[in-house]
Amino acid sequence: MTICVVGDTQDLSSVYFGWAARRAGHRVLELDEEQLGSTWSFAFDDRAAPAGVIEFGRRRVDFADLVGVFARFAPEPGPPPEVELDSGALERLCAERRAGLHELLDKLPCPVANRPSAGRSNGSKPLQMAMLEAAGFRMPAWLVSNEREQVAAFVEGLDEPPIYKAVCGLRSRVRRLDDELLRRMKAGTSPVLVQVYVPGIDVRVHVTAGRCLATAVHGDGVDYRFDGSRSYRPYDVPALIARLCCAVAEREGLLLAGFDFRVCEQEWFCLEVNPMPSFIPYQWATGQPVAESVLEAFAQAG
Amino acid sequence: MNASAIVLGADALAVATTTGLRGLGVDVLALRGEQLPELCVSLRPSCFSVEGKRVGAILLREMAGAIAPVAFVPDDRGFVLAELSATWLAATQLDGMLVVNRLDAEAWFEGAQWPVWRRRLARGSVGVSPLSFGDRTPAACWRPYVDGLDRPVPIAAARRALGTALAHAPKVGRALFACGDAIGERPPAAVEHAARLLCRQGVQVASFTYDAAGCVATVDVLPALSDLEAEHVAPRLIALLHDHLRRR
Repeated sequence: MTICVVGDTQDLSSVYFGWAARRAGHRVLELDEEQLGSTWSFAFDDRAAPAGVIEFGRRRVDFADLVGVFARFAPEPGPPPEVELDSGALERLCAERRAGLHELLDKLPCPVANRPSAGRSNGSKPLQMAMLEAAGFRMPAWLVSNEREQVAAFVEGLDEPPIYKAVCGLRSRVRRLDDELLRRMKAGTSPVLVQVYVPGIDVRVHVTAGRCLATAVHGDGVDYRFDGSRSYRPYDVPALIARLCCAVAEREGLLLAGFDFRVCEQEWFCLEVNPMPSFIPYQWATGQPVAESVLEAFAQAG
Repeated sequence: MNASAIVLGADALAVATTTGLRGLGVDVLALRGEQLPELCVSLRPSCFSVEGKRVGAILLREMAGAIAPVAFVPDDRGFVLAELSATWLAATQLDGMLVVNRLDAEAWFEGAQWPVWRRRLARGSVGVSPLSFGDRTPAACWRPYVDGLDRPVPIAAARRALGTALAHAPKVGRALFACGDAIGERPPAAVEHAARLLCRQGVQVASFTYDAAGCVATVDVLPALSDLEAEHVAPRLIALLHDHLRRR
């Protein structure tokens, strides 16, 4: 029985997942996006669904023999080996190839962590926050704007400056709102997400098929990913929060999800849910078996 | 009416809808995609305003996430585009906002391409034209994911490198739907089924191609319309948008 790692196989989470899967006795195929057509390929047919085959070198693996797939994509993958293209042609090739991989991951009959259709609201934080709030999470108040006056009105009455961050899902640093941002708004800029700052600790909750693994992070600044941190330690998740996390992950089709919270005096404020969470820093610091939980989820589904 | 409408685009349908709504007293912001980076926008959990006007309805004839923000330096354009796209997607999903067409996050971020709709139609038990994926032959033609325009089957190396979608039956017809109505001749049953299904999901205007068996081949939710088609579609959209804004 075989497990596939698809997409960016050099990504640290992908590498670790492949290692963990081998350690658990699985045969692992690393199916790199850029190597599609070179070291591996796939073929399936609507009329024979759910049958299909992945060819990896001289191996042929039927879809039916796959235990599960771990998928993680690079934001800007390159061309196939030894192919040189201008930027326009490369963009078209990458779009077509990525869409082909989406079809593959959508059609595979085994569990996939995660299918590309799952958790897409993460590409728009305000959209995702609306979804999370409707699901029952408490969210810090927010505004998306590029209007200086609107932002100034939002700030008025707050005890301390809010934070601001990207509206989209691209990785960006969270900062405190300052005069520099207001000056940029006056000069003209794209909208930013301004949000009430919640003091306290950061908590990442990884959810895999009904199991929650939480890590508390004591950071040195507003954004521990960039500002540094003093400690990562396991943390207990209240039953209600765990239930909400599992329900959202299931509804969004996420076999693996990473929920981010700020916890202040036992109050849990949800910030976002990541459909492609980088779980390595949390797993390595705390020993929490996130990758192994995904493998267990694969086994349970089988 | 306490809210404005936005019409994004400048094709015949956008122009006719703008004119019709203005004739009914609706305040319409007629925009082109390239103007989006210049606008003052504010989005809250329950309201979206553009240039200080509260927006209650949006007609999208261009993808808000597919414009080049030329006012920004090249290194910033990708990020600005992602930020604008994320903002407008969230705005289109607000309660009380009528959007034609309203696309969910997956469809939005996939550029509303036909494979997204095909997968949904198949899940909804709509007859879709069969495809092979990857290095499978024989097939009648290659149906690229990005535009759905049939081309000759490429060589094996390309099929393997792209995971191509290969069609067994070429397209033989096209049908246009607006607000649940077929514009023109009555299409095959599978196409009617598809139009009803997508209409329930917020897709009010769409064109469908189909094969000789009457199965849906591709879906275009931003279809290019002839002037005659726009004349037929615009009154339906004007009535829909006006009625929504009047009831708010």
